[in-house]
Amino acid sequence: MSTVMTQEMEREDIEMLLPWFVVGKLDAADQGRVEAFLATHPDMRMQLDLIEAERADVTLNNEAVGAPPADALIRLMGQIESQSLASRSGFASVSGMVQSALEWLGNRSALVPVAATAAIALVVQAGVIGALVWHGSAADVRIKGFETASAPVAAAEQLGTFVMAGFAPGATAQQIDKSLQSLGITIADGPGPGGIYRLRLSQKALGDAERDMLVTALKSNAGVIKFVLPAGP
Amino acid sequence: MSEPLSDNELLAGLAKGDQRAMPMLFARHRTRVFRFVLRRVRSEAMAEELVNEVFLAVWQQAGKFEGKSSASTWMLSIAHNKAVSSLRKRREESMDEEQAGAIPDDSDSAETTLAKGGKAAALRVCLNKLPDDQRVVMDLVYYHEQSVKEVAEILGIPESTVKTRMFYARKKLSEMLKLAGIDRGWP
Repeated sequence: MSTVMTQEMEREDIEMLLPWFVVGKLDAADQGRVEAFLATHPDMRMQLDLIEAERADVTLNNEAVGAPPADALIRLMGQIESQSLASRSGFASVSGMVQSALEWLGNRSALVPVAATAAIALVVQAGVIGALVWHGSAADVRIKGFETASAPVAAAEQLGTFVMAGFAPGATAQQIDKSLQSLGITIADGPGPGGIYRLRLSQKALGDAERDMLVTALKSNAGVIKFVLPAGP
Repeated sequence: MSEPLSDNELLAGLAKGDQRAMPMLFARHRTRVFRFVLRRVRSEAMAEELVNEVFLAVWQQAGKFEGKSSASTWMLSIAHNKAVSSLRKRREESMDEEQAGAIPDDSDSAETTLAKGGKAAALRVCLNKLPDDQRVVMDLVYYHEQSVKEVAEILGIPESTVKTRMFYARKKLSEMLKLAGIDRGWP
């Protein structure tokens, strides 16, 4: 093979690696090869600008297509929960699982299965939170226990700034109440599948900075809040 | 405040049946997975359905994740397979192309776009008009920042094919832009 052919093949080989060189995804050996080639062939550097422009526009094209809807997580968690119940526990529903677990607990005082304990804790917590809301710590919200997850919410209650959140399994109703009250946050809806609640940060549409500040404050209650996720308007 | 759990730790949680790991994993990856599948199937409704299927598969198969690749590569690989199956099914059902038009098809030519919006806009139109097998490689490299090996894993093709697809995609882009009156000076 002639030297010219070898040089052309080497050039093309390096050209093929340039996109990954620009995004910083080459292994050390290829990174070294490209750097060495660019040092002796400065004419090829113009390609780096072309690649940067391609990268910027591919990013714009991707970001232009938006994001999945905010309630996608609720739907997913519902499916996961029903799959878990069907395939792992053999129970047909959450209430069925809790009923069976409670009966089981009535017969055995020790060695409680972790899954059953967690499920009971989740459901009991949901009930307590529902009662807590109903009895006035967040009087503007018309929610009552388990009916809340599917009850229609009045249009006025949809106004404001919301997030989705889960409470830590060990958090008591008092801790949750205190934590939310201190920030002026109320429970707008829930629990959904997986014990997820819709929390109203404010009755107004908050700006990003104000919302982020409240979310950060909410998350700082690690013993009470398990996670916080964005929600729709 | 404690460090957030890594993707691998969240997947390990899912593998043990801990549902609480899913919201965090979903929040981290849902948008990129959605964009990846939407740009493949070009239907928002279908993409939403596929995202749901991808994360359900993640839940079901978390125990099989060995950590040899990154979690995002693994999830994009699942997303690719779901998108391909979905497109194949749609072809088999001979779905009307009009139903798959959620993403604007940039029906303007690059020349028209060049006149309307300038060079950068023309480049974006040409990028969207690349053949799907080339465009997906560009998306995976430039937007999802995947290495040659990772793209090969996601698409199930040899690494040499990944490199040549990217190379020819870039050449094709230059040709399309040249026809629109923009000379990039390469190749």
